[in-house]
Amino acid sequence: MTDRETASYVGRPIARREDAALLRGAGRFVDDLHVDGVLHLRFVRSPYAHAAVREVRTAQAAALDGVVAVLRARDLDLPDLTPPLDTVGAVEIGRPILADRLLRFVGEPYATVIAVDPYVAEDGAELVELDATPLPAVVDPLDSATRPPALLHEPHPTNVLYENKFTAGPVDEAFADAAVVLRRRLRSPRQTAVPMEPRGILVEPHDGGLRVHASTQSPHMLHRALVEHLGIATDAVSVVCPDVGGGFGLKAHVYPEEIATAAVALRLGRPVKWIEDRADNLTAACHARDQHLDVRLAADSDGRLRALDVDVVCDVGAYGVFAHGHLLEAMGTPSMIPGPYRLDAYRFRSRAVATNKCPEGAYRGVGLPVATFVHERVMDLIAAATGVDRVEVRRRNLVAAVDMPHHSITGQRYDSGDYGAALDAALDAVDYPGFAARQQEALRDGRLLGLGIAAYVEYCAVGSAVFQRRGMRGLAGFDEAHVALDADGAATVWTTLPAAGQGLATTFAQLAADELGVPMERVTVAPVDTAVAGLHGNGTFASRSAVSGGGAIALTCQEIVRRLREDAADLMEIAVDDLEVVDGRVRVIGSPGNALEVGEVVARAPAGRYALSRRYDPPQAVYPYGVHACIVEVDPTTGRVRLDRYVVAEDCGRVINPLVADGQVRGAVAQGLAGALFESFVYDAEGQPQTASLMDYLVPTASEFVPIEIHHLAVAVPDSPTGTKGVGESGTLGPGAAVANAVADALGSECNTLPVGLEWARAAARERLGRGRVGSLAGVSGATT
Amino acid sequence: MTRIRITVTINGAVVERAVDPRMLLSDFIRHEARLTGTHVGCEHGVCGSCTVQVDGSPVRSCLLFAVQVDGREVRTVEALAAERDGALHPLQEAFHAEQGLQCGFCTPGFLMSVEPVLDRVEEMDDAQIRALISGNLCRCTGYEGIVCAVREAARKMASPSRSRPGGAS
Ligand code: FES
Ligand code: FES
Repeated sequence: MTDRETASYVGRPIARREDAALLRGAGRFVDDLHVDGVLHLRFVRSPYAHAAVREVRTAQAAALDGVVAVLRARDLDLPDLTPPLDTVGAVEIGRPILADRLLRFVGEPYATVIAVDPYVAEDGAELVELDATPLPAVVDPLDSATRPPALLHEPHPTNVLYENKFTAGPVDEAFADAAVVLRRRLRSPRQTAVPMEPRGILVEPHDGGLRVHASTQSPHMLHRALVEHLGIATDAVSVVCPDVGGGFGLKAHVYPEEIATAAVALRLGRPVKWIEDRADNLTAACHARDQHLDVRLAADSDGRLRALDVDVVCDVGAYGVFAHGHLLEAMGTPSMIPGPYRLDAYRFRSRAVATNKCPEGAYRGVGLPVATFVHERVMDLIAAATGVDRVEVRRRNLVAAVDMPHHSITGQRYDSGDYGAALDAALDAVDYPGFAARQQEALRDGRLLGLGIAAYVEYCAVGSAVFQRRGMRGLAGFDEAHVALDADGAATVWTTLPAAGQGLATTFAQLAADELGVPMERVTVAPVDTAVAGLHGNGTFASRSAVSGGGAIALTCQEIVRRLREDAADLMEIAVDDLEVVDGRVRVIGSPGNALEVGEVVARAPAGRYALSRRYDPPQAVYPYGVHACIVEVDPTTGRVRLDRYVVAEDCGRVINPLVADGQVRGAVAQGLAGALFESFVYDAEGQPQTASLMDYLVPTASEFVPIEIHHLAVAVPDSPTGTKGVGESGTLGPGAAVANAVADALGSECNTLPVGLEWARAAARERLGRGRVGSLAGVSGATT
Repeated sequence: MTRIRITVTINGAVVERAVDPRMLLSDFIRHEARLTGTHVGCEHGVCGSCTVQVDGSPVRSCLLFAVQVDGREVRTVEALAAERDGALHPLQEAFHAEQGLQCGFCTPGFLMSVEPVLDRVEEMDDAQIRALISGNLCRCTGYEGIVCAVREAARKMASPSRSRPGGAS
């Protein structure tokens, strides 16, 4: 482990190395890669939510000048992409690479047109004729679970693809004798990640093999899937990651489109490119967070939570995603609904239900923003029912710092932290004690201010043991690093974790430089390439890069340093224990003039001695936590919610680079706020998407946000080799809950559905102010757009 | 389809091609002129990633056909540093210093939208700067670093002690 005393790069706000090329327009995203003779592929997608295919006619399309091939499912003849699941209560569901007999959502690809340019490919796609009989569309997940209008995956006899029932502790007793018993329905909307760069892949065939450039978070997973699906040798395929224009979970999966593109390239023996357009990205990549929750709570009159009984229905769409499956949220949300609070009695039923919609996959925070929404609404509901202040309710229920590590009722092991300190820090920042007076004063002027609090705890950087326990066989769980030193003393680092904006080329170099004892300028972090050193690993999801990638880098560098000292000891005829590696030199402790350059030691060692790999497999998850507090104002004339303040107090462990960490927090909070206030992917009753463009799916602009104030706590993290916890996703957990609680506070009405509806907020605001007064207030409200 | 011969000046260089009338300017810049710094995030005029300048004014290149800029001057993100012998434009420097980018996909669009009006930014408050950049979407940063970068760049450009001449627009 790094000696924290001598660490010289980690912890510093070093400006990112990635920036210069990106700023010059010299980034290399997948569609920027030019290959002579490349063909362009367009998928022909289902216009039906649910239909039985009679025939797909391709002759007209194939006859079009410039079209090279038109291929259907039977032409490609590939096995389904089936996420391997060993999870109790789950069925394995296959997903066709191209749909054959059945179309199960609008946007599902059933044919592909390959042409000399993307315009012609699009023309060709319009000429493919589909003859299909519409079937009843399954749109409502609650209906789908109980009385489905149709079954999606026959012979599976129900649309419930996963069901888990859990009971621990005296639930019935608590509900029988608690002073407060409440039941509420909560609704989390369907959302999607919208990376600014849509999906894309370029596949170049060569001597029976494939070189793949993919905009992905999981290149090694893609590599394995290609090998297995296309039946080619492991070393005949390599996947390299160019610049990736945002992922947020959406690119953590392997998609049928990627397999199909590779299959086409292999079949035609020509380079093929597929670049997704925005409509396809919105309707056919992956969605998330679509949950209906039925929540019962029991609490004592002093505000202590006694029991929860929750029914979770996740609308997972038509299929699972590869290799995660269809139970990411159905498993994750209920396991974290207890949140940062002690809970001794808990029952839940959780179901993943199929509908004729876009498959659900990962979106930053995966299930935990919804869990936070539940436990933070619960805390405010208890406060309202008991008259105990909402902060006091939280204090009485939070897991205390002295009780760490804490085993939650669902078997999570909260490793470390001081949740109360995070609460204090957030409340201080928003002047909680002074807010009530401010709110009253504003109300006298007809202005509706509200303050909302959301405490959260998150699991991240899960290892193979956890994935195996969850039955997710297709996820590696570990990551690997390969580090090579050259005779000039320069180091190159390869990992299994591509960046999509996280700045890993900078932060990994900081970590490696400190571990190796060489100047950071001498360390290069190379793009992820599955051809390098036989590395295998998980990929960049579940906030794992700092812990798991950082861990692998640390282990590799530590072995290099061990060898450097050992070899130098021989060369210098001195005891190993008297040597240290500092600033690119192996030197005698206490006599720094007596030293060898690192490069010299490398040059004199046998070839290969300074190129090595190590794996890090997190033995258990680590648990970042924090408290968000926000102040909002609701405009009674429009129902719009304007943010006034947004404060984050969070603990992600040791911060490698504060600029990068804060950037992660801000970006994640912004996405959380987007989901709280604007974004909802809507289908009509026939399963037709209503929000298939950025005109309809409302990604907020700069005008919708306020500066996000961040306070870091750093309680020691015993279970992470780098002292870090993970910071990529936690920012998404608080905003939905904090905004809902703030809006409820402003309006005096419960806010249990996200995103906050304008109509609803306007009606509640008018009721709050009294109808008579609002008319005279119109136009003088302090709310702006 | 009958191709139409067009002549467009891009970043000072003349590009002459016969193109399909339906070819988008964004595709012309990216795939004909091979200047891939201009990005395409939606192709329907919302995200602003494809913003370039035509005769000095920001436009969304996905909403124009290449034939519409026949005979006109197009300036793309690649020009910013090229016009300064490779040194970053103060706006680019400010994006770097203020964490105005993460994945960098949206960044060229922001740069090309803001650069022609930087001299007006000094007078603007936070809300006005936010309004100024609200024609561009960024999914990574939450915009805060971008707002700071725009403000900083304007301040630097306005300060008489600046060592480099202003932008060429
Ligand atoms: S690509 Fe032109 S505005 Fe989005
Ligand atoms: S930096 Fe990624 S979209 Fe703006």
